[in-house]
Amino acid sequence: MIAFLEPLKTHWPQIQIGLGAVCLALFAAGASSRRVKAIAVNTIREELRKKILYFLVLFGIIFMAASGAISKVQPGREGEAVAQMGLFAVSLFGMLVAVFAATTALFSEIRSRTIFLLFSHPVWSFHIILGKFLGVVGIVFVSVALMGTGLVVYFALTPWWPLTGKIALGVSLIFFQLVMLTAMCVLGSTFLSRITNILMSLILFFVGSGHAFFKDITEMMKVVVMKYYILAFLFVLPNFQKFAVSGKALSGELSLDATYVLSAVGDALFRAAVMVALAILFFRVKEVGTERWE
Amino acid sequence: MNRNVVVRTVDLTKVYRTFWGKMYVRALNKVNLEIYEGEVFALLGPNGSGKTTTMKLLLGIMFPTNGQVEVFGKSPRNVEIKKDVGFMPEESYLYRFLNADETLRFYGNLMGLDKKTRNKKIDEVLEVVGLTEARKRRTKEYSKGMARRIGMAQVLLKDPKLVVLDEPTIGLDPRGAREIKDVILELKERGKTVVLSSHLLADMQDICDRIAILHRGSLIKTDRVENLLTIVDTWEIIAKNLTEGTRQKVGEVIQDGGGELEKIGHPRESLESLFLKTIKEEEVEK
Repeated sequence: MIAFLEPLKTHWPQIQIGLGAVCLALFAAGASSRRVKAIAVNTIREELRKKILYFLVLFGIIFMAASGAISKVQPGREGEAVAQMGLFAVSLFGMLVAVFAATTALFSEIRSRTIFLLFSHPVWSFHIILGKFLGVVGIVFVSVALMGTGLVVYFALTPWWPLTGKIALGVSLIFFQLVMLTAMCVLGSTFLSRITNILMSLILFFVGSGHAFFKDITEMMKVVVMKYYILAFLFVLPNFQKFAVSGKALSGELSLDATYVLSAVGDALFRAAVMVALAILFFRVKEVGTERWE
Repeated sequence: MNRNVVVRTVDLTKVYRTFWGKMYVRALNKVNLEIYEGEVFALLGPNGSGKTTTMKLLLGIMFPTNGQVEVFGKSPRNVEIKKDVGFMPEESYLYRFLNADETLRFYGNLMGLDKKTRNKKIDEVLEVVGLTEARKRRTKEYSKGMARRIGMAQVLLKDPKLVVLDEPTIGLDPRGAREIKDVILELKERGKTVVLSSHLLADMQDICDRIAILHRGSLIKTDRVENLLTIVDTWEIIAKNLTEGTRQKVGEVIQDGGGELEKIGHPRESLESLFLKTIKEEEVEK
């Protein structure tokens, strides 16, 4: 490692926390704009009036309830197993909500040509993209909060109640994981077709969720150039795995200290902000309405 | 008429290309236009002539391939000028999950109106377009005519200096079309500049000051409506209660003066006027 980068590496978690705080302030400033708020609220309203969202959340809750059956499979560690299944369900169905809503948000505006009317009003690209992003984040928050509250209440009423705090933390981390995923989908929707965007997002989420595994495999590669290309890609790709509360963390073998949690949140907010900024840039030069020329 | 130029295009050209950059259609070819403050200006042409493309370029939705377009002396991409531009697209592209009230509140918020002003203006424009009763119905349940009216309502809510209307009367019944035309005339009376496109020529004839005829992306003709439609070597005399004898004398006078009598007979009411009158009478009887 180059010497001058050493202090950066040592204080990396603190830097991530700082960057996250700055990005949070930027998002908050953006959200205070009346036009951003109007577009965000409209996005939330659109999603809330679609039945599919309720089905996804309902399936998530059913899936979590069914995870109780796992307790019979792993005697002695039932609570942790059920908690892991529950968190997996929140992550899985939250991911489906985020991907579905975020890839639709801009696409439906272009497909239904309501974008023409948006553009005829005094709105900048950043109003549209940030409004769409925050609207989907709002939907993801509602979905994760519904499923997460169900899981937390369930655990609070069972003999495994000591795990409740860790589960609440796990649910919160999943939310920030999905904030990054939402930003990734919104970015994709500025230059990809909807189907390609969904596929790309799912693939990148899958690779990002197995970050450590893919990194280990890459480290073993013998072709140096290829190895560094893939490592660079993994560095840029959001590490979704960081946000999954593992079995070890639930059992207490691995501690989730405040610095780890806050730096993960900071990382999520920073990456989301960068992706939203790129989406704004791409959308600014995107030409909509070229499909008809009468 | 005030000759302040509101819209100016210089050699405006738009070429649509495939993903690989290959040209597949030249939608507009070096179009030069000047549209003045306070006039109703129509872009006429068959389907595919470039009317909608011109409008999208005026609104900054698309970028020109070549040439220039200015609205109020600035680029149409400039967000500042959009406060003064209202647009009603060909089909009223509405959020189907919203009702009329929510739709107008959304656009009111985009315009930056405060809540009190916004709600007051929404009540007013819904009254103008006759949708007060249907304000709580989702727009997906609206007929085409109602959808057009809500499209017009969002324009009126903005109260812009320049109003751009793409095919404003298409798909409407004669009464709906008349209502829209009356609104356009009212906008003109209030000093607004109206740019509209249509291929329904009869609809445009009685409301436009000037027209531009586009064909295959090129501007064929631009002039005032009366200049284009007046047949200069032919005269029309409209008179009431003529006897057969007087009609004959009129014919003789024309022939004596070296003229050629082409037709003398009863004028015809337009089908639109007949239809509107019949419907109105029926409603009065009920």
